[in-house]
Amino acid sequence: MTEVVVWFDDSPCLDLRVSGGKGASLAAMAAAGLNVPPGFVVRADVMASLVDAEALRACARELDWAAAQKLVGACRPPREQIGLAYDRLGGSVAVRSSACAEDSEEASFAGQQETFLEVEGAEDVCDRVVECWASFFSERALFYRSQKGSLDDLDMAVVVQRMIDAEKSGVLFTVDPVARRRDRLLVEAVFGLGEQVVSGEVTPDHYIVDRNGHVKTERLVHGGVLTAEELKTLVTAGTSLEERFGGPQDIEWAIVGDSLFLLQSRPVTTL
Amino acid sequence: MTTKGTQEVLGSFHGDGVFPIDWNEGERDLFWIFDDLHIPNPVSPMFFDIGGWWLTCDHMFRRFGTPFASDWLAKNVNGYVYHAAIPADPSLAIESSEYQARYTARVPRGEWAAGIGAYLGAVLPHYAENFLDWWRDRLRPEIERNFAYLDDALEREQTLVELGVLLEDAIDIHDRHWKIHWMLNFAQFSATMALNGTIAEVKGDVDPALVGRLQSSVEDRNWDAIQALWTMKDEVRDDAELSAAFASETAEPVLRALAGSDRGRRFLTERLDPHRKEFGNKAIWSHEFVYPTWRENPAPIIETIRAYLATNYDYPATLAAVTEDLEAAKRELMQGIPEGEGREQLKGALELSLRMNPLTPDHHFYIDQATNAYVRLVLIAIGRAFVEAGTLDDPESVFFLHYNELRVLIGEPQSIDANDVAGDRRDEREKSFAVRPPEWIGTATESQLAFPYYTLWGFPEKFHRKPSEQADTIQGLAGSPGVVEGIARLVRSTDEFDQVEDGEILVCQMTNPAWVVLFTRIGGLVTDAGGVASHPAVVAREFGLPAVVGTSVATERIATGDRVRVNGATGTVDLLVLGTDVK
Repeated sequence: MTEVVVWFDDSPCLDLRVSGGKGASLAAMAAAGLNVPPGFVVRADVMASLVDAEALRACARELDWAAAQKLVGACRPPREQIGLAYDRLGGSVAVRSSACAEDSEEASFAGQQETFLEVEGAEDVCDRVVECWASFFSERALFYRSQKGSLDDLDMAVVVQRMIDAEKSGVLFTVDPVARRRDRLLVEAVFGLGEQVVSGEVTPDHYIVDRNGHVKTERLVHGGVLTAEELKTLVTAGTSLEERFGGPQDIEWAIVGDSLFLLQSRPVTTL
Repeated sequence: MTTKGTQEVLGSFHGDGVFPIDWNEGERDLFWIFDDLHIPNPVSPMFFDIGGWWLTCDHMFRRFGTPFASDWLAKNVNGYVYHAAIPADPSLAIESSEYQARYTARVPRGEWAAGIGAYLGAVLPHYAENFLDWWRDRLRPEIERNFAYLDDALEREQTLVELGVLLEDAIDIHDRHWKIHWMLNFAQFSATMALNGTIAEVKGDVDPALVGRLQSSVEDRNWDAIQALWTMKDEVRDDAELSAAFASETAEPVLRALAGSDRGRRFLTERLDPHRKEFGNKAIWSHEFVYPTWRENPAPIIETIRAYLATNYDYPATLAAVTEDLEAAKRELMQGIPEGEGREQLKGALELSLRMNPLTPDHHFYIDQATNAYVRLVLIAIGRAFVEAGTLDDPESVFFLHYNELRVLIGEPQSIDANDVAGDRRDEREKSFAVRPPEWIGTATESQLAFPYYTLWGFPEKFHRKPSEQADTIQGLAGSPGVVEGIARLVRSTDEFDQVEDGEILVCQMTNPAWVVLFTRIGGLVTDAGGVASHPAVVAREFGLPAVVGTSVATERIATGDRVRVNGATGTVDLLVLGTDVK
C-alpha cells in the first residue's frame, strides 16, 4: 500500500476522488488561507484495498447490508499510519465519513453518513474509521445508492480533524434558502457544539442578515448567541467563501474566543 | 343602472386594525373581491404595476360596448390584489393607479350606456362565428411573431438601455395580447351562451355535468406538451443510461447525472432544451413575475417525466379516453331529438362551441402563461444587468422595484439604494404571508354583487356564506416555503409508514434519511424538532414541499385526520377542522 493519509494542506487532498466531498472542501478552505482546524484524510481507496472488493460489491448489489458490514468490519485498518498521523494531531478529534460520489455532499441528506465527536487515542480513532467505512453499507445508505445506481462505488474517505472547544457554533447559509433570496444570509447559532444545530436537537438562535451584516429579522431562543461584530465577521467569511467556490454556500462554523473557525462548506443547490 | 345612492347596502368592510385599508376617492363605495383565483399570494410591486390582467379591461368594455360595466380596477391592499368591476354609470368618479400613475376609471359620458346593449347583442354572434379564423390566420401568428422577436432579443447581449427599451416592447406586447385575450373570451362566451340557449330551447333541462363534458378539448397546446413529455418518458424508459440518470430522488442530481454522459447530454440538447423553449414559458403561478419559469429552471419538467416513469403514463390511451367521452357526451346530447329545424340548430351551435374548446387551454398557453413569462424574462435580464452594475445583489430583487424606479435606475444607476428598497419590500412580502386577506372589501350592493364575471370568484354565494371559525394556530419555524391544506397523518415510527396516503400532511417529531421515502407521497410536513438547516427542512426544500419545523408541540396538538393548513413561509400551522369533528 502507498499513501494512507493526506493532510488538509497537501495538494492531493484537494482531489474529491482522494478525500471525498468533505475532505476536499476542507482542503480547499485551508488552501485559501481560511481558519480551518487541522486534520487529515484517510484516503478514499484505502478501504477497498483491505477487503475482497468484488465480494463487497456483490453484497452491495444484493442490498445485503449485514454481510457487507461484516466484511468491512472484519478488515484490518492500517493502524500504524493512522496512529502516526493522529499523534501529530493529538488530543480530541472528530472522525467523519467523506463520500466521493459527486452528489454526496450536495444531496444534503444530512446524517446519511457517520460522524464521531471527541474521539481520543489512536486505537479509538482507527476503530471509528472502520465504523465510518461500515456506515457506507448501512441499509439506508445502500437504499440511497441503489436509487442512484451507484452501488458499485466503494470509494469512501474518512476525515480526522482536531476538535474545537467551541464556545459558540452553528451554520451559515450565504443565501436565504427558505425565502430563496441572494440578498440575505441566514445564520443559526447555539452556545457550545454545532452538531446540535444540524441534528435538530436544539432550536438555535436564528438571524436573517443583509449582505452588509445588518440584522433584518431575528428569533432568539438563547437570548442572543452572537454579537453584531461576530455576525459581521461571519458574513465577511461567508461572502468570501461564496466567491471562492463560485456559488452560494452552506457553512458550519465555530467560535473560540476571538477566533472564527470554519468546519465545513458545501454548495447550496436548492435555491 | 341606477346611481350608487339608491342602492341598498348589503354589507361593508372598510378596514380595521388587523387589515387596514387606505381608500382613494370613490373606491369605498365599490365591491372589491380578493383575486385568489389568479394571485393568491402577496403580489410583487412590479407585477402590480405592469403585469395585471385588469390593465386592458377598459379596452374590452369599450370594444364590446357592454352596458353593465365600463372598466375594471385593481387595488393593492396589504400586499394582496383586490379588484372591482366599474358599473357603466356616468355619475361615478373613481381614482385608481395603473403603471404607477393616477388613473381615473372610464365611465360613460352621457347616457348612451343605457342603449349600447343592442350593439353588444348584434356583434357577439359575429365574434363567435369568426373568431377561430381570426385566431388561426391573424392573431396567433401575431402572438408567435411577438414571441420570436423577444426570443431573438433575449439571446443577444444587450446594454441596460437596450433592455429598458425591450421592456417597453414587452409591455406593449403584453397589452396587445391581453386585448386579444378578452376578444377571445367574449367570442367563446358567446358560443357557449348560444349552445346553452339552444339546448334549453330544443332539449330543455340537461345535467350540468353533460354541459361540462362538452367543453373538453382534444387538440391543443396542452396536449402537445403532454405528448412531448410522454415521448421523453418512453425514451428514458427504453434506455438504460438515461434510466439510471433518472433514478435520483430530486431533479437536481438527475440533471447533473444527465450532464455527465454523452447520452445524457444528447438528451439535454435534443429533447429537454427544445421542450423548455417551446413549452417552458410558464411558472407555478402565471399572474406574478417572481416565480421562475420552467424554461429557466427545468426541475418541474424532470419531475413530471419521473412521475410519468413511475406510472408508465400512457398518453394515447388517456387522449383516447377523453375523445371517447366527448363523443359519448355529443351522442347523449343529440339523443332523442327529432329530425328537423331544432336538431339542425342544436347541431350547428354544438359544432361551433366544440371548435372553440381548444381556445381555453391555448389562450392560457399563449397569453396567461407565456406572455407574462416573457415579461419576467426581460425583467430578469435587467435584474442580471443591475447585478453586473452593482445596483442589486440579487437579480430577483428587480421585481420588488416599482416600474418607474427601475426606469430611473436605468437612467442613473446609483440614484436609489435599490438593494435596501427592494430588500425591505421582499421582507414586507414575506411578512404579508402571515396576513389572512378577507374575501371581499368595500361596499356590497345587489347590483355590484350581480356582476356576471364575479361567479368566477364564487360570488355572490361567498358573500352570503358564514365565515369559518377562527383557526387554532401552532407557531414553528419556516422550513420550506409554500402553503398547503390537507389531512394530517401523525407518524411516530417507521412501522407506520405504510399508513401514509398520497397528499397527506406528515406530522412527526423529527425525520432522518429513512423517512425520505415518504417525501414523494406527502403534501406537506410539520415537525416538533429541528431548525432551518435540519434534515426535514433541507429535504422538504429539495422536494419543494411546504414545511414547518421546530413547533415543539405538533405531535401533541395535531391528530391523524385533522384538517390543517401548513404555511411554510411564515412557519404557522392552522388547525382547521379536528378529525373528531368530522365523524
